[in-house]
Amino acid sequence: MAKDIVNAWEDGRKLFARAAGLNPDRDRKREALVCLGEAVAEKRLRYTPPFTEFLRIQLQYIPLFFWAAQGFLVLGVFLFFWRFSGRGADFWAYLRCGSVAATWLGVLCHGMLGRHFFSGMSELEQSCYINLSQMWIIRMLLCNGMDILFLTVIGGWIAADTETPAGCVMTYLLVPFVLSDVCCLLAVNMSRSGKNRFALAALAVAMALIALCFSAVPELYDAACLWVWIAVLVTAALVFAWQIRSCYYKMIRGDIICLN
Amino acid sequence: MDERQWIRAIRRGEKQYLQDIIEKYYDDIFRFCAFWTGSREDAYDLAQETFLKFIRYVENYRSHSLKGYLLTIAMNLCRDHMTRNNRRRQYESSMEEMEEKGIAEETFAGREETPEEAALEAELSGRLMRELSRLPCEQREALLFHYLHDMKYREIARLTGVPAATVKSRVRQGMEKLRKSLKKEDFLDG
Amino acid sequence: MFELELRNVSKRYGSRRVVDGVDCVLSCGVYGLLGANGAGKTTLLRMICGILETSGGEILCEGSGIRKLGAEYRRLLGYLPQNFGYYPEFTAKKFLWYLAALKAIPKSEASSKAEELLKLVGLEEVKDKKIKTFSGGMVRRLGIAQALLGDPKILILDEPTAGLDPRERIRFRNIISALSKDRIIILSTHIVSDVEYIADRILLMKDGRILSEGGIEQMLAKMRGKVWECFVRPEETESYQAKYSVSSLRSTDDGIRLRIVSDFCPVEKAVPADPDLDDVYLYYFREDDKK
Repeated sequence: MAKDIVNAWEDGRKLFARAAGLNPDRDRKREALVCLGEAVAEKRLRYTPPFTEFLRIQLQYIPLFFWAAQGFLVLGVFLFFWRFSGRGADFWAYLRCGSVAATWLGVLCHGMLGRHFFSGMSELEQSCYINLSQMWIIRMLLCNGMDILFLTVIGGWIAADTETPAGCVMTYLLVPFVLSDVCCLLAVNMSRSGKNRFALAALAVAMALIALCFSAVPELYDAACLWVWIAVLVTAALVFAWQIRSCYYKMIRGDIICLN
Repeated sequence: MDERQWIRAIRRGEKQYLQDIIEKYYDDIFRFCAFWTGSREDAYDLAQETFLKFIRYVENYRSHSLKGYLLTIAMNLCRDHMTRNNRRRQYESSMEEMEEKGIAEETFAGREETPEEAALEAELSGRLMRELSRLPCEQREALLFHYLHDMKYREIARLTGVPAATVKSRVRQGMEKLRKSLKKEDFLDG
Repeated sequence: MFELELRNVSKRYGSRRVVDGVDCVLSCGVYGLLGANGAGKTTLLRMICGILETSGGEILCEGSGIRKLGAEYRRLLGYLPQNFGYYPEFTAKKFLWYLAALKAIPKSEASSKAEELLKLVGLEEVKDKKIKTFSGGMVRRLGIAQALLGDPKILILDEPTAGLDPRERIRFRNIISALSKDRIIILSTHIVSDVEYIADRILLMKDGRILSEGGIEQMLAKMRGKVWECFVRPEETESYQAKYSVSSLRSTDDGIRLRIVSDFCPVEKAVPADPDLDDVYLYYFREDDKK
C-alpha cells in the first residue's frame, strides 16, 4: 500500500513535471502583462485601517453623555464608599450602593448602544466598511469589560473592608449587573423606536428598586443561599451571551436594522 | 525581499510590486487554468481575470501563501467559467479543436527544444490535459495543486475547505484513473 | 467593465413577497428606479446594499456574491437611506468625519474631503452648526454629501429628492450629472421628473417586480401610438377620467384638452401625441380596469 502511494507520487511528479513545459505563447504573455500593467497603473490602493485605529474610532465617537453619566456614577459610588469606610464598614450599605450602581451600569451601556437604533442611523452604519454589527459587538465588549473592571474594584473594596470572601461579594454584584444587561437588551430588541429611551429610564428605576428590595432582606445573602446566586449568575450570563449572539445574527440578516 | 514584504510594500502604496508578482506567477496561473479548462485560449482569459481580480482585491489579501491565494482565485474563476459555459460541449469542442490543430506546434511555442523532443512533450501535455478534463473537477484540482504546484495535502485542504484526508483520497483516486487511462494508451511505458 | 448582477432576487416577509424575482444586470451609468410607494424599491435597494439578506436569489458584484465580499463590497458603496437618521448633536462636519472614519477613509483625506462635499451640497456655511438645527432639505443634502464620501463605485440613493425644494432639486441633478460615468448610480423615486433628465436607464418597479427596463428613448419609442390627445367639453371630463388613464388635463379656449394613455384610440377625434416619461409611468401603473 505504502509503496503504491510512493509510486503514484513518483508517477504524478514525473508526469506533471514534464507537462510543466506547457507555457504561454511569448507574445501573448507580453500582451497580457502590458494589459495588466495598465490595470496596476490605474489601481487606487484602498486604505485598510489597523485594528488599533478601529478601536480608536469606537472610543472617539462614544457620545459624551455616556462618559459623563458613567463618570458621575463611578465617582458617586467611590464618594459613598469613601464616606462609609471612614465610619466603620457596613456591609449592607456597601452592598445596596454597589447593587444599584451595577444595575445602572448595565442600563447606561445599553442606552449608548441603543442610540444607533433610536437615531435611525443603523441602516446607514450597517452599509459602511466598518459596519454596525462590528461596532456593536466591539462597543458591547468594551463597555461591559469596563463595567466588570469597576465592579471588581468595588467588590474588592467591600471584601477588604468587611472581611467577606471576595468571590461572594463579586457574585452579589454581578447578578444585578448581568440581569440588568439581559433586561435592557430585551427591551431594546422589542422596540427600537426613539421611545425606548423612556423604557430604559423606567427600567433603570425598576432595576434599582428591585436591587434595593433584595439587599433589604439579609437572609438572601446567607452562605446557604450562595449556590442559588451562583446558579442565577451562570444562567443569566448564558442567556446574555445567547442574546448577544442572536442580536448579532439578526443584525447581519438586516432584521433589526431596517425599520419600517 | 520576500512575498510578505512585497504585500506590505503594496499596502504602503508601492504599486510596482504588484507587477512583479504578476510576472512571477503568470506562467503558473496560466498552466493551472490551461489544465483545468483543457483550453489554452480560455487559459489566457482566465489568467488575465485572475490577476485583475487580484489587483482589485489586493487590500483584502490575508492568507500566508501568495501563490495559494492566486490559485484559489483562479480555481474559483475556472469553476465559474465551467458553470457559465455548457460544460460538456465546451470540453469536447475544445479538445477536438486542439487535436485537429495538432497540439505539438501550439502547446510548446514558448520552449526551445529539438522538434522531436517538443513533439513528445506536447503529446504528453495534450493527453494529460484531455485525461484531466475527464476527471471530476475536485479530483482534477487536487491533482493540479499537488503535482503541478507542489502543494502539501494540508495546504490544499485549507484552500479547498475540505479535510486533508479527503484531498489525499481525491489525489489517489484521480491519479488511479489517470494512470489507468494513460496506460490504456500504452503511454507511461513509452 | 464594472457590473452588478441581480439573479432572481426575492424578499419575503411571511407569505408576502415584497421583492419578487428581480433579474437584471447593472453596469456603469445612472439608473432611475421608478415605482409607486410600496412597490418594493427600498427593500430592493437595501438588499443591493447588503444590509438586508435576500430570501432567494443572489446579488453578484463582478461575479462574486456581495455577502461573501463583505467589507470589500461595502467600501465600494455610497448609500442614502430613505429614512436618513443622524445624531442630532453632531455638527455637519463631525457627522461627515464620523462616516469617513467608518468608511475607512484615512484621516488625512477625510477633513479636506468633508469640506469639499459640504461645499458641493451648499452646506459650507453651516458646517459647524448642529444637525438638529437643520431644515429637512438641509438634512437631505447632508445625506447626499455623506453618500459621496470615499468616491463610491456604487451609489445608491433612496428617494434623494424627498424634501428638497425646486432649487435644491436642480442642484442635486447637477451633482449627479457631474459625477463621472465610471460608476453605478441608482436613484429611486416615485417622481418621474426627478430622473427624466439624468437617468440613462429606467427600471420600472411594481409589486416587487421590474416591469420594464431600458433607455428613456427606447421606452418612449415603445409608447408611440399609445398616447392620445383630444378636446372634450368640461362636463365630459369626469367620465373620461373614470374610463381612461388621463395623464394631463388642461383647459383651453377650445374646451378641455385631455391627454390619454391607452392601447387603443379612445375617441374618434383623438390624435396621437408624442409620449413623455410621465405617460410611460402612467401606462405601466394605471389601474387594471383602465387597460
